[in-house]
Amino acid sequence: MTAGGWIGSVLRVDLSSGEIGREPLHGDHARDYVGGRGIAARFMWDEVEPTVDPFAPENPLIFATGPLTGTNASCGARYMVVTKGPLTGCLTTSNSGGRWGPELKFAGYDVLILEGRAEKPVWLWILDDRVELRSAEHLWGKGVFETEDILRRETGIPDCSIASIGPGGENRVLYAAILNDKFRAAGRSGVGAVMGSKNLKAICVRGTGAVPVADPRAMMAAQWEQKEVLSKAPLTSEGLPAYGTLALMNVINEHGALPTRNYQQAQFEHAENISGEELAETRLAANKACFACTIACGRVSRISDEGVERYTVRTSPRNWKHATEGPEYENAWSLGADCGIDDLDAILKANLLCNDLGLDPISLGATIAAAMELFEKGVLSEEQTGMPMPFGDGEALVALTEATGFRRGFGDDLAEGSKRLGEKYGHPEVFMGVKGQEFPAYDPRALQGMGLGYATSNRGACHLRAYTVSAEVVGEPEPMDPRATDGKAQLTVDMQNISTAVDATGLCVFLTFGNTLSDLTPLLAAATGIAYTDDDLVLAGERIWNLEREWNLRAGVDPGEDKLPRRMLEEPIPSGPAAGEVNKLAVMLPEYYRARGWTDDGRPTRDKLAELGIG
Amino acid sequence: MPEVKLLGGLRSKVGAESLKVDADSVHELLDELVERGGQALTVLFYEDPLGDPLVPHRDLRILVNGRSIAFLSGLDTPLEKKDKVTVHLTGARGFPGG
Repeated sequence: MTAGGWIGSVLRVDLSSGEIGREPLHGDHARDYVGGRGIAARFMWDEVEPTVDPFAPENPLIFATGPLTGTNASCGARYMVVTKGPLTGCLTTSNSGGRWGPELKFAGYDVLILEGRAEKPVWLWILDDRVELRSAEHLWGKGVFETEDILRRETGIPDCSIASIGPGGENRVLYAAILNDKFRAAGRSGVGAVMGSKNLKAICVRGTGAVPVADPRAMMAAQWEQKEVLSKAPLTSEGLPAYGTLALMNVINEHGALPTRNYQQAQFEHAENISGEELAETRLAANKACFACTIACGRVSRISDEGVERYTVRTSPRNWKHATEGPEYENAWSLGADCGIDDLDAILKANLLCNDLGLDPISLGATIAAAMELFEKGVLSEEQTGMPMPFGDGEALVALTEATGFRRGFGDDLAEGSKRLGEKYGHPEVFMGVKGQEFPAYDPRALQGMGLGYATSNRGACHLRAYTVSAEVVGEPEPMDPRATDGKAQLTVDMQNISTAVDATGLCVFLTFGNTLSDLTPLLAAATGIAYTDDDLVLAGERIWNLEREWNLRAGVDPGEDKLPRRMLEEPIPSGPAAGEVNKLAVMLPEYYRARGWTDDGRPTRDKLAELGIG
Repeated sequence: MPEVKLLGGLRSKVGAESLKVDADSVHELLDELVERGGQALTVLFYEDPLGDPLVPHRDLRILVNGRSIAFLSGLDTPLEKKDKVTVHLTGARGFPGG
């Protein structure tokens, strides 16, 4: 291993046997795959049969940090959870911030691999080199918030960091999340359900060490320069701290790209009521940062008195009264506009429940939206759903969020996601997503690049794999016409490679609104002692992307799954600025495959894999 | 008259969430907003408020009927009575992406 950045140690826990082992991190893999998402994907490639059942003991659950996680680089808080996802059947990579990732490194580990399945519920306690499994039978059934409070008391170390699942993960909701520090989530694709299948309730970690860096003086200089850039860029210095991501609500709505009522429209007439402006004016208490972050996009919000009264739920004895965190733009959209709901209190409450129950609000909201469409079209009756659930019904949203976490009543159907819900009731067309995973908050008919990004994402529909919104809406680094297809294939490839590389470093992808790769390579060089160039990082991103793709192909995810729902391709947006638009995926996809150097039917060639050292 | 919707921090600076302005072009519309919000707005609207020609500030975003003026005629984009215009900034004075 090199002199810094990586700790050089992998912790492996077999939950079936209780065996705990440590092994060195593979030096070449660390260099070529950088860390986090990359290193974990390489573990999956080397050790896991791609056709494994996501809930089988043989499917590992990997928590992986990057070489800059836990350093003083801004935004160095991230870790990635990697496994085969139950929602998609794809190799899934779900990212979170907060303090958990840095603590794992302070305890002396880059990567934690969990294998097997415990016979009874357990939780894992990592205090430096003291690692032990303890019974979690007293925690099973409890929410994330209470679980964290109990474990802090039990360990006697209040500043430990805890990643846990709620009832959603225990009950294998297919889009269950893993929460750490109560409000930070590895949210998508059902990583929490895999954790639940292993009977693992929580991982509590506290480290007293530090992350070594190869050249401390150069590291100090590089991080000051990085932070200087972030402090001057308008989005990272002012925009995100002041408004968070929710500021996008009105912006995307004004572009006519805000999916509404399960993508039946692309403008929400009440967007203003759930916008960043409304939150800031009426409910925002403060902003909040993850470890070492100088952006602080997190929101601390209050639910109004009226909202607390109206949306009281049975599962939260303390009910958390007013204080909560969020919502992010994606969550406010999925629980709001996509369900036709304009009550910010209902959204805040449902979002709070998602955190406590351990659910992905994007997939949950989108699944409820699909069910609302079925209800309004008379496919689902009140008898089947247990309550009226027309679009716009905030009380149904909150009640169904709770029911889903426990798989109660109709919540059992919702827990399967909208693809399976639509299929069960004979209307697969209500599924708005890719590879089994629901779309996030941008209509691909209005933003052509997002459609290509969704269709080709390795973990199913996702906005973070290629955020073409940056060029198509925000105009960064250069404005691109959102309705044109020209240049979108190369833009998507470039953004996928760069975002993947940033994920692998252990930094937050939001810093790319200020920093470029040229700001990050000095950090990596100073930390690891390896003179990474911008091209090296892009190549690492391409390597990881191709490996994930090839693993998915071997898992049986056919290239034909690079597709969009018929509604996106054949049903024009009915009104608003982008009226008449459909997504032109058929034009962009062949260009994308060519730009990737793949075969015409979307498979990485032998030459491409050899060039990237994948074999 | 064209209807203008302001987003984010521009609302407090201009003193309105939305308003109707008598303007035949985007350029005239910005002049009208400066008239209402004060000369300081020119620093947010233009790269060089004293420049000739005036160049839109790189953080300024203007949509006419949902289309960015970057894909229309920039500041010279003509406005008609029924047009809907959205103005925001990508910084905290206006808005982020993310």
